[in-house]
Amino acid sequence: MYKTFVRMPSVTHAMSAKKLLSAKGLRCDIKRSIKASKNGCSHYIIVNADEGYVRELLDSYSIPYTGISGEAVDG
Amino acid sequence: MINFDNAATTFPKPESVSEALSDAVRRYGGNAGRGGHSLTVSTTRKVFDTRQAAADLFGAKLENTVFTFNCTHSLNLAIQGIMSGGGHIIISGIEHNSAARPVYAMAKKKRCTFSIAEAADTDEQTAENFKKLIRRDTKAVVCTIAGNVTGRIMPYKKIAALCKEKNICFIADGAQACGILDIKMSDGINILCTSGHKGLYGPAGTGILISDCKYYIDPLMQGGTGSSAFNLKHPDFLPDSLESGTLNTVGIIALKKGIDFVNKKTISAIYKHEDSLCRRFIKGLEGTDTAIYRKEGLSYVPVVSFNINGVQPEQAAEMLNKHGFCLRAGLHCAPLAHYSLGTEDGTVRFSPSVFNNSSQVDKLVKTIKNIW
Repeated sequence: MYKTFVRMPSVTHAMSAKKLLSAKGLRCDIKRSIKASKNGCSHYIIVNADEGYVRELLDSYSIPYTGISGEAVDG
Repeated sequence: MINFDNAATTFPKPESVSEALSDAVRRYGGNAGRGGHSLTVSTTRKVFDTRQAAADLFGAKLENTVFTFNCTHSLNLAIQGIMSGGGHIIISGIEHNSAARPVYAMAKKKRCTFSIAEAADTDEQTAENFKKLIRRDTKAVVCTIAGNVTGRIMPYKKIAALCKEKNICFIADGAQACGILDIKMSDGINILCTSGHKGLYGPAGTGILISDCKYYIDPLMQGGTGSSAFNLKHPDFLPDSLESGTLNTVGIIALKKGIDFVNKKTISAIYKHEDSLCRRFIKGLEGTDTAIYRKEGLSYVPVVSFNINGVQPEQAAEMLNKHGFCLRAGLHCAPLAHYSLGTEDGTVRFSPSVFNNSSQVDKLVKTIKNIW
């Protein structure tokens, strides 16, 4: 199972991404960054899908993001 | 009182809008996009829902849909933001002061030059008038989709096509058209400016700016956006770049209900209803000593400007007010349109909403006939 973390430019973009990914059947949550990034407070989304697929979906709908990373998790 | 001044702001509002306003004050007290606690998250979700509804209504991308405080605010953001580097701008000869004044103010400070394209007797000639004024340094064209004095629908699709061909930013003022005509960004509009409190039936203090992002809008204001906070450089992406400071969340949440109301009624049904009231009003005044400012061959949104011969518009409106009718008289903040019409003393404006009916129109006509 994979989890992908996507840092979003704004909460509006985070919500747009969540709406898109949820519509594609992916579980997706919006979180605030625990530690402020170099740019300051930010929102990110956690998606239960692998990074490549999430990237592909966001790119195909022109939803911008400022960072993306994936990891394999147990379960 | 019977309100026939809905071109200024629609009243009454749908019950759902009033309820949403009250509900928003009581329940959605977070600051949208700021923080991560449940109060702010629920408010942010509601703002997002309105943004989605507005974007869908105009065929726009949600992220490019910006909330402002009114159409004047939207137009100032668009005009000053597009013209910040100087250049030439063309406005129509029937623009509201919300577009004409920011252009004039920039020109006065030598930050741009401008030309006025006359609204001619035909749409073809009007579009041609714009074309003739285009110069090498023309950066933008501002044109109202429908004028607020006579309700004249401008050939905005033709003008948009012309702008596209010449790579000029087309800024459309939709204040009198949105909710009445089916306006889409795909009509060729680069930046659509409108109010939320007129044809969209939202509360005062709500406005919308939508961009297709082809032209960068330099922000007029900088400030907190809830994003990139470490960076002293203001965000350059929409909607944050044009939404500094706390939004009118209460108004925006209620605006969603206004847009829902319009969608449920349908734009075409709203137009048909209000247009029939205008036609009834015009027909009712036949044979009286009045001047109606409409021309054959042109199209109009449901607004009728008229004058009673020998009576100052303000006097006429005052008298009608005494008889229980709210109509606006004067220049309607659009002096350019009155120069074109030759009505420097102004006009009286009849502008119904979806809540008016034919018997109210008949009462107004009867009153006018009885008084004058």
